[in-house]
Amino acid sequence: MRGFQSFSIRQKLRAVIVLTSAAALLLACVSFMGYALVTARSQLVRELQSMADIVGLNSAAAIVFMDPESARETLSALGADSRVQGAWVIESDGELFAEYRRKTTEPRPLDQYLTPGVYRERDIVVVSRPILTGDELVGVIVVSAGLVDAYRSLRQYGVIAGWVLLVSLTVAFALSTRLEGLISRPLLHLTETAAKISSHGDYSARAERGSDDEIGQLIDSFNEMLGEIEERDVVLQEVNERLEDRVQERTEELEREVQIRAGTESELRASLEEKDVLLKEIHHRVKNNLQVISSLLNLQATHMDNEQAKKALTTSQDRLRSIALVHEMFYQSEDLARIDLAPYLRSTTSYLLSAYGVDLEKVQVEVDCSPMNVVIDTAIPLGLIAHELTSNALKYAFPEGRRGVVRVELQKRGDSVELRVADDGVGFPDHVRWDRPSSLGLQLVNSLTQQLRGKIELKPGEGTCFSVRIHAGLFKAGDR
Amino acid sequence: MTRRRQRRNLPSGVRTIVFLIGLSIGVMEEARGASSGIPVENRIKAAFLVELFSYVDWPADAVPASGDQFVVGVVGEGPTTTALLDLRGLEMKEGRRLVVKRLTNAGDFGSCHMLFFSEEPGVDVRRVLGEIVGNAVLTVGETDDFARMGGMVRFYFASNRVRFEINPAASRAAGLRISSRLLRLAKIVDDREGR
Repeated sequence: MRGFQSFSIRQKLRAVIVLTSAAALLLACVSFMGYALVTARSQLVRELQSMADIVGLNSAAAIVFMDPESARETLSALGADSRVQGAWVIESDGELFAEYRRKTTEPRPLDQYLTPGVYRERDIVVVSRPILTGDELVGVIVVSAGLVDAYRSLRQYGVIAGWVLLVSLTVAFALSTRLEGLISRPLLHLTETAAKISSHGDYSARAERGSDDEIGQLIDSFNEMLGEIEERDVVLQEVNERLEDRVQERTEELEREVQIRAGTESELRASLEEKDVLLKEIHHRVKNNLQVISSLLNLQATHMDNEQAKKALTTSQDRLRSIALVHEMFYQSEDLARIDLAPYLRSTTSYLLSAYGVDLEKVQVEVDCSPMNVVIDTAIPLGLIAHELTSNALKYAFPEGRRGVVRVELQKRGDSVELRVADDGVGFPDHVRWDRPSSLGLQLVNSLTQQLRGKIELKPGEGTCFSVRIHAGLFKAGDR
Repeated sequence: MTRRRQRRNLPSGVRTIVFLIGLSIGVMEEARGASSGIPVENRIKAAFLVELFSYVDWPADAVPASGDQFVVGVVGEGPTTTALLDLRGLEMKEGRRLVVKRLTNAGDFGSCHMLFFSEEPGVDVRRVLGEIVGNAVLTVGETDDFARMGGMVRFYFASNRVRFEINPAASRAAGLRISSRLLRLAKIVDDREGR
């Protein structure tokens, strides 16, 4: 059956037609032959019965008058029929009365045939008929005949049937070859159309309808489906095109927007750069102005006779110098918003050392600062605090050539930042109230610390050690 | 040996008759000490005589007219006569009863279905036959030239069998029709040859 499944529809149709014809013909032939055999048998039986009846009638007198010779003669007349193999007249008590037997026929027991009737055996038929005189049974006549003739006829029928079958199947094959096209052609056409569509994707193709039967309906349905697919394709195409248009529009809008933004950004960058330049310029100018003021103060000082006033001007000059350094550091730094205090502290202490003419062999300054970025609002006061405390240490801690070390530290401690300026000098004089000072320097330190919301204390111990703590939040933006 | 074989070959109808004969003989021997020791040959002849009825057609106007009897007239004595007389009253086919009459009066010879002349009839057979010509009477005899004398059926014994001759011309002349099946068994005799 698997082999049959792999046949093409043409082959299947042909096979179906030929097999059906063959089956029908075979059945017809077998039925015909069976019928012929049965007919031949019953015909033989009828003929034997009538022959037996005639011979029996003619044998009755022979039995009554005990003349087996005559009966034998009568029986031998049956020999004219080639089918008859033997005939026997048996008296009603079972005694054999007369016998006719062909030379080829073997003697056979006859007791079984005493009851009149028809006995069908494998290839013979035995007929037993009563012999009557009036209504009295005087004996039976038994006639046996072979079915050889019937079988011979059957063989001839078989040969004829074989030829008929052969010719019919040839005709059936020829007809099926022509007729299968009625069914297979539209189907094959449909298949070809479907294959064309699937290989080329051309949904405008249509199968042609040839008949009004189910295949015709199938082709109609197929074409309708194709139509629907085509319509959907059109709609899809439209939607697709619309979508592409939308995408195109959006893309253009976005590009425009991007261009605008890029323009804005470059403008912003330009203005930022401009701002940076301006800021640097401002810092530069402020620093220059401060230097100009410092130079003015210096000039002023050279024309003064009062030493105190002179000193005040010089101190102010130093302070200006310290503020100017902050601005200088700002315009030199890359980030105009913040500067690192560490290099500032190193720079300002080294300036103070040279400004006060410190003997570097006697007094040393150590700067120990963690990198600490601060905004300008913190940098200037903190820078001034460090400047005041350091200059105090350099001015007062080491009188009369005393040796020592000034340590400037800036460290983060917990949530606060501590600026510590310590020296191992003579120590802070007891009579001076550092928190309510009379000198301008310490007043500045206190007020600047307040400005930064910090705390200042004088650490006890040898030398002087001021600690200014301010909240780390002021550094936070710049703390890395 | 011969007799036994003959008995064995007796057909059923005849055998029934023979059996009845034997029975009646036995009964009658007891009753009236009648004849015994009738040869089988003669008893068969008697039985055959009765069977002839089945193979002969009498014309409708035959004598006697009574439809329930089969009348056999017997002329002369002999063992066959005795055997035949023993069969009197036998139920026959078609509901007939067998009637056997000894006939001595020549005038009665035409008044039966069958007239049997024994081995020793005691009459001039040829004359009697001549007298009853034209009567529908089946004539049966045992003498050698019975059929040639114009008799219709003659029984004889040959090859250990009871056989018979038939003179169809005689029966035809009497208006009787003898069945061809019977004729086939018989030896056909034409009395005209002898004349």
